[in-house]
Amino acid sequence: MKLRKVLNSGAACIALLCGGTLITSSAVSALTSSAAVTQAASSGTISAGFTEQPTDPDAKKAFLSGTVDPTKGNFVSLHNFGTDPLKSVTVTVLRSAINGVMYLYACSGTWNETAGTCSVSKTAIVTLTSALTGSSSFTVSLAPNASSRLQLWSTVGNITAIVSASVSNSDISPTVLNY
Amino acid sequence: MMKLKVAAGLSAKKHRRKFKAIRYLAGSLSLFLGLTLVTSGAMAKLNANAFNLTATQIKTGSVRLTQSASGLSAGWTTPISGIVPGDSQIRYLSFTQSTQAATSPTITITDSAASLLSTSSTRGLQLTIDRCTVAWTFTVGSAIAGTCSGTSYSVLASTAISTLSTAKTLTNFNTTASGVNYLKVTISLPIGTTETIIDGAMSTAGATTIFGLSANLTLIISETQRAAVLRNA
Repeated sequence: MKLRKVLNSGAACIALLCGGTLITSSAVSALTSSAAVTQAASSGTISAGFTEQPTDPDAKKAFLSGTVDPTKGNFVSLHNFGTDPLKSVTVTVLRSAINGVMYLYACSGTWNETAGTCSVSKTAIVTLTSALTGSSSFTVSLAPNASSRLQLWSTVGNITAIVSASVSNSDISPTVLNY
Repeated sequence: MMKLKVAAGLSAKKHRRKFKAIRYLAGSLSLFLGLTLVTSGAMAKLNANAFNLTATQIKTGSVRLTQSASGLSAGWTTPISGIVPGDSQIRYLSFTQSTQAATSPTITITDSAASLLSTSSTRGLQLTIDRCTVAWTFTVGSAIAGTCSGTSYSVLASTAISTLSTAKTLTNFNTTASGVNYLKVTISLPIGTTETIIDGAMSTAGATTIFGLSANLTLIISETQRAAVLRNA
């Protein structure tokens, strides 16, 4: 009887020890695991303007003042200063006085700037007949740092006008890229 | 003769006394020896052991999640540059479980260079995660999103990164032992508020812009061990 009691007691001790070990193991195994990776991301910029006669380098407007050549008109460069391709731009023409009719033309082909002609057909983006200012959005494919020439022409030779450009989110083409 | 008898009687008495003394001594010795035997018997009980001849092997499990680029993708580390509203960039990642199952997968994103990209819920970056049971099929640099030839699951619906600074639970993330998660991670910049730039400057003076910003994102997927179990064997 005594022997059995002692053995039972010893077994109980071993069981207690095992129980203690299990609790410790359980506490250690209550782990969390994480996997982490880092990536740099930057947003692009959109900006369009003109490169002619910039009185303020940041303004990116075209200031025209003087006599319009009745043959070839005056050419200005619409430039993409941003980092993303533009699919359209809104241009605005503001003249100092209402005299004659003023046109801003785009060419879908190639300009002959000496003759003032377009190899395909020129399109009037803005036409001012009896207003000081007018604006219009037109489709133009402009890669970053690329330019497109526009022609300003007036029925009255002596003009003073400002041509400016604006772009927004809708003037860029969203893309999906896999990497 | 009488003297002899008397002498003989005295001698017998002495012998009886001696015999009694010896018996007493013998009894005492027996008692002592008996106690010794009892003590010796108790020691023998303590030394009795019963044990298994083959040691029981106990191994603790491990919870480990490893990440790698999936397939041809260069993975999450490929930088994103020039993202504009409406753009999406896709990265393909594989997350593999260790030999133990896990539970409660969550995602957290931190930005070490916080800007509107990671702080605005309406104009900032958004994250979408889908899982495929097999590796995604895609062409690196292609504008066509990858396709899943197995079964695809939504792990995280489109979520603003700004809300992922605190852990968010993932759904349909494979946490089974040795399970592989083929993930398609899409980072998008929503159209959000239209910004207009006139002659190179914001149309509204002092307005914040989403353009020209940078972020340095760390994506963390975490999980915990499976629920504890009790097993009979």
